[in-house]
Amino acid sequence: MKITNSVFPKLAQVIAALLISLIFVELGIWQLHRAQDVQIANKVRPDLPVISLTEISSAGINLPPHAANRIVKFRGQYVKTYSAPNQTVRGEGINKKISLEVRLLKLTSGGAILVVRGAEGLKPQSIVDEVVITGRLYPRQSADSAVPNSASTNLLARIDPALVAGQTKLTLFDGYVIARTENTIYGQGIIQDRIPSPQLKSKSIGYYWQHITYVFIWWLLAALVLMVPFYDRMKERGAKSAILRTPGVNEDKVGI
Amino acid sequence: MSNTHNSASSAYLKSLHSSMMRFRIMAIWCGVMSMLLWFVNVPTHYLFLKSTHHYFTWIALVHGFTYPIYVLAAFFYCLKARKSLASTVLFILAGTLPIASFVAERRALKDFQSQQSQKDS
Repeated sequence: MKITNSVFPKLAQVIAALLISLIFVELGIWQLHRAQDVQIANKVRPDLPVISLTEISSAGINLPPHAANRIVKFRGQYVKTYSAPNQTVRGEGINKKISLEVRLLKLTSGGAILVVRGAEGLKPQSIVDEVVITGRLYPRQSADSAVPNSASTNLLARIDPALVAGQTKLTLFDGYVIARTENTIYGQGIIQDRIPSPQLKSKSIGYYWQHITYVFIWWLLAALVLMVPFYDRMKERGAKSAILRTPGVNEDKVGI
Repeated sequence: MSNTHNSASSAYLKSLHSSMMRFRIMAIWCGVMSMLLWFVNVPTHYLFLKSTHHYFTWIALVHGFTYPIYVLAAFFYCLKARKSLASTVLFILAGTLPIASFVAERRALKDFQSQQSQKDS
């Protein structure tokens, strides 16, 4: 009976430690998978074939997740010109802040979308005819790059269709397109100082090395939890060994 | 017998002192890193100056890589100081909060000083 009384609490302790340790190991594995996800998300994948904008998105709805980063083609007429100052341009060895020329394009098939034509020039080009655009579709920006200016209606603090929605009766597509080519309907290219349009990398799931540190922490905690059932014994042994190193002290004299 | 007891006690305090010093260094380091994490890294990521966040990503990394060293230092200090299991858990968790690790560091020093004064008296 006495043996049972002392064995059961110890056994329960060991089982509890094993279970908690298992949870910590699983949490480490989960973080390891997240690190792998980050690695995959940050890999540049080959672009899918060019698709018509209206095939993957529609005006008046949120941008479908699979539509972001796709190279799209559409046709329409520019109706308004905007300036987006202080925009960070990255890719192809460039990393700088410039003002971008953004135009609202009314699609022939209906609806309108914001198109980034490129770096803002001294004088905006006059384009009255229909144009055919090919470019990469991006989700709307959520952070302001410039101070919002209510006095200037053609200044965009960020590239977001919500900012121009009040100025037009057209139904807007969510997101915006950075133009790669811009042709007239007769196939003539329009010359413009274009900006790079790299694939957008997912930032929301964190950084690879950060997840690796979490893996390390969870697994270390898992190892420490396994020591819990032996904690009291380790405590006594630690104190005892410090004393035993003292000259003139032997095991018989240590009364711990 | 009294001399032997004194030298054994000194040996224990010496060994505790080195564990405590390791813990204190890591507690101060983790406290500073936690403060940077909570008051610089997190606000710039979620609240304001979002465009500057990429300057501060190193904070989470450095804190993440040094926290395991803090955990080990706290665990071995608690073992040496014969702390209870609950205290050990609290000492380990203190490294995740900005002020808590400074409190733990002061607590460790105070405990050590009281043990030392007990021995002297």
